Amino acid sequence: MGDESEAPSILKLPDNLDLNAVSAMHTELVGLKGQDVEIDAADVRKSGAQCVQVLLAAKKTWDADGKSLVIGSMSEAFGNTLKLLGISGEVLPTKETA
Amino acid sequence: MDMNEIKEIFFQECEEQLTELETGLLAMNDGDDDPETVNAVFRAVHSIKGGAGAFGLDDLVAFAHVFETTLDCVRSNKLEPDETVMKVMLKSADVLADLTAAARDGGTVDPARSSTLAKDLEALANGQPLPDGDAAPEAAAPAAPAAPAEPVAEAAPAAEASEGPAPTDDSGFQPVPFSFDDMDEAPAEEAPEAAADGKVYTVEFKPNAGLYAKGNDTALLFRDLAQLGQMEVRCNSEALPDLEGMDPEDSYLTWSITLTTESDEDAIRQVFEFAEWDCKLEVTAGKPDADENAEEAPMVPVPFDLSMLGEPEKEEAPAPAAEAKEVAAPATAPAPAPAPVPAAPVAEVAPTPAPTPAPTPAPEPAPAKAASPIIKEPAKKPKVSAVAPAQQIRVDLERVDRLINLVGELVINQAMLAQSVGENEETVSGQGNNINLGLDELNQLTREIQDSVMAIRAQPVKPVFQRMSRIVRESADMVGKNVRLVTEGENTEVDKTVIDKLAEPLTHMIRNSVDHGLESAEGRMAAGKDPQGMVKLSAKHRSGRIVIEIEDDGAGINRDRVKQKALDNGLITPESNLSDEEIDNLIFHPGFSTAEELSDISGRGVGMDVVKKSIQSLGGRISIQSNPGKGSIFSMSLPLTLAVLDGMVVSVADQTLVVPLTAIVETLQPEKSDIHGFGAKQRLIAIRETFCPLVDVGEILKFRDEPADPIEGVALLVESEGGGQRALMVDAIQGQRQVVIKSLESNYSNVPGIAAATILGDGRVALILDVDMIVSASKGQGLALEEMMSA
Repeated sequence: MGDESEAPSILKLPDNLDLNAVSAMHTELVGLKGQDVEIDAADVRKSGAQCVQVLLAAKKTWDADGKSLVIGSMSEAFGNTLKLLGISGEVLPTKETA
Repeated sequence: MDMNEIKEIFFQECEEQLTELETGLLAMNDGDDDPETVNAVFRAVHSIKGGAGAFGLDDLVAFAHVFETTLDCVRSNKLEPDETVMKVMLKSADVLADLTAAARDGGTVDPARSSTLAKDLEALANGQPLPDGDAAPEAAAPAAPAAPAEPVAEAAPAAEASEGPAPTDDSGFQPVPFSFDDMDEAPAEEAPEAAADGKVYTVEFKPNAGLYAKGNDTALLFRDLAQLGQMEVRCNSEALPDLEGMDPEDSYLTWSITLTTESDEDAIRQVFEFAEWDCKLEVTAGKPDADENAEEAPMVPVPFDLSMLGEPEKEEAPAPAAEAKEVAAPATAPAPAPAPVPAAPVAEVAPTPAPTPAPTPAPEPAPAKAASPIIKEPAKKPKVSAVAPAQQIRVDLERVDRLINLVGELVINQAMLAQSVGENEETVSGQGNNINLGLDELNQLTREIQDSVMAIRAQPVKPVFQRMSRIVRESADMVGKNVRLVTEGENTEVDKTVIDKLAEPLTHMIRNSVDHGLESAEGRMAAGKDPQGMVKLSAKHRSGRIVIEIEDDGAGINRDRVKQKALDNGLITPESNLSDEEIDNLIFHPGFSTAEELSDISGRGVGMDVVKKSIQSLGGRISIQSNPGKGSIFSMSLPLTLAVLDGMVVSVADQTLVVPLTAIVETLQPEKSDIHGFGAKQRLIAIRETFCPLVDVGEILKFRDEPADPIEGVALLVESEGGGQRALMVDAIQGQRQVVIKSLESNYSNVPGIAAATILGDGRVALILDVDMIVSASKGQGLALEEMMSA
């Protein structure tokens, strides 16, 4: 797992994570590859499965790179989407649990 | 954007889909066997079904579903689109249009009609002969018969079982009380608190990229699913590549859901109904195979019920891992699913709509190809843009109208400005050139703005023409004739207001052509014609107007009968010596109808006079050309827009009038030698070796009692729609300009001889002359008076 002591890069997610946001989010994450990343999902009001999918792929990649990718804070709406999609905290850990 | 706005958009889209549908079906009817045509037709019905489902328009969904099923058989070559099939399809398109209209406007559709058709569609899909049309009505409400034809029959045992006292399921789920209050958008409906008593289903869900591209989302589907009961969701991310190797818009995740519900399988499938072509869906009774789950690491089941939404981090964030483990247990433990469901029949249906006899949807392969090309090459295709090539926006018509009104005001204002500059030319003469130059530019700009705004409102006549094909079908059916509609120039554009008002007169004229114009099949054969009659509807632009013609290859107008009828009705006297054209025009007289028996379709107490009136109220004209034994042509000439016109401003007896420029052929200053008396009152003017009747506009309009001296005035040579030229005499020409049309009818009332009014640069109101009316009034002075008095 990533180095906890170094301050991770924070990726703030926009409020609307529908399919229009997917590509941008993907590009941003690809740009952060190799760094510890903390996802700030506090403002997310709306999110779709494709964005979650990108996060999962990122998580997989980060794990393979030995870096950390965690959810820093998340809005209620985003938490709901994760639950609906069956994404447990184990798959996509939060800061506290990572 | 609230729900009503979304619904409004849906109905607008339905209009487009219905047009697509009709276009495609008509092409198929004409022998088009391009698979893309069938696909387009299928997509149209499918889209309507999809949207209708979202708004809970059950009748529409049900009918669209049956229709779609049959179309799918055609698409997969299981059903040959022969004449019988196409007839049913076209009628179904009509019913679908009616159902859509009913859903929008709150009307109702004859349930017998839709259920009969639904049965016909089902029979076609099943490869059975069509049931007898009369035997159907007991099927009652359109929703009933429509619901998925065979699958229902198959799934029946399951449905029954679910209604009885559901056997308890000891799967270990704790019934959790539901609260929808915390969910932001969730519809507050039946809270399935007793979910734990329900049956257990396993739902395997594999969405395609197309599902997302169409704006669906797994999360939303699952939220709907969660309303059915308690569910445990396992997400499988095995197929997910690493970040750089993925196409963010593709679909890699799949899900397995264990749902404990009191609802039946149909209800579950219904949740996915509008995504069904874009996903792989398997619904099976019972729990998933325990072993599989136990092994698969990525599939960590997360129990879910709606009450969890709303209390997020508090409970999840602290200990998600523990929670996950905890919940994994119940799912795997009671593996051999004690599910007391009648496993066999349900299982049979389960693998998705495919297995049942012949014609059930068989959705996966074909629709995938049709509905979302994205699936094939996910990496290359951008999402929505693949579907919508031309960029368009929807704008409320009211906004466009407001803009048009404002531009109208601008035009008036500009004219006023020009006029006051003209009047004060001396005082501004120093910089006059600049001002005049600026004015010219303003003039040019105004005109361009106006043209552009008008272009926004211009629409092809296609939708109206397409509606007519239905009118032809229905009226032909009613009178038992075989009629083909040929359309031409459907893409001719005309102002939206004109289009909106075209449908009614066109409908009546088409009915008239089918009912009275065309002979019966026997009659046609006896006359050596094709037993199938032809009605041709065409549109074209001609000198700044749109000309729409309705042509039939029937018997033509029976002039003897028309004349006799006119005699009987006292419209003419036995001595009247009428030309063929005049006899033909008698059918436009109020109350004139030659049909011996009033038929169902055209004898509704509405005569051709009403058609003529409505065309005239649009500033249009109508004329007939009839050729005995060969057919008739009704042509309507309408202005392209009802908002502005180029006019010549003239003075007549101290009044200012505007004459539409399109009507004027030339203007001339009469010489004394050109004017010749003719009969008691008539005068003719000699124009290049021909004589043309001279019409004193002032006299016709009763501006003056005595005819003015032609030498003093100006003659405008005009061409009337009925053919023939007249020289309209006015006192002087003031100029030529674009004027904004202000309806007299809506602001005052209809005035014979006057088409509309306008506001001039000096703020005064000027009347716009109805040239045709003036010309026809001039033909027989008596008739003119009569017409003016009666109107």
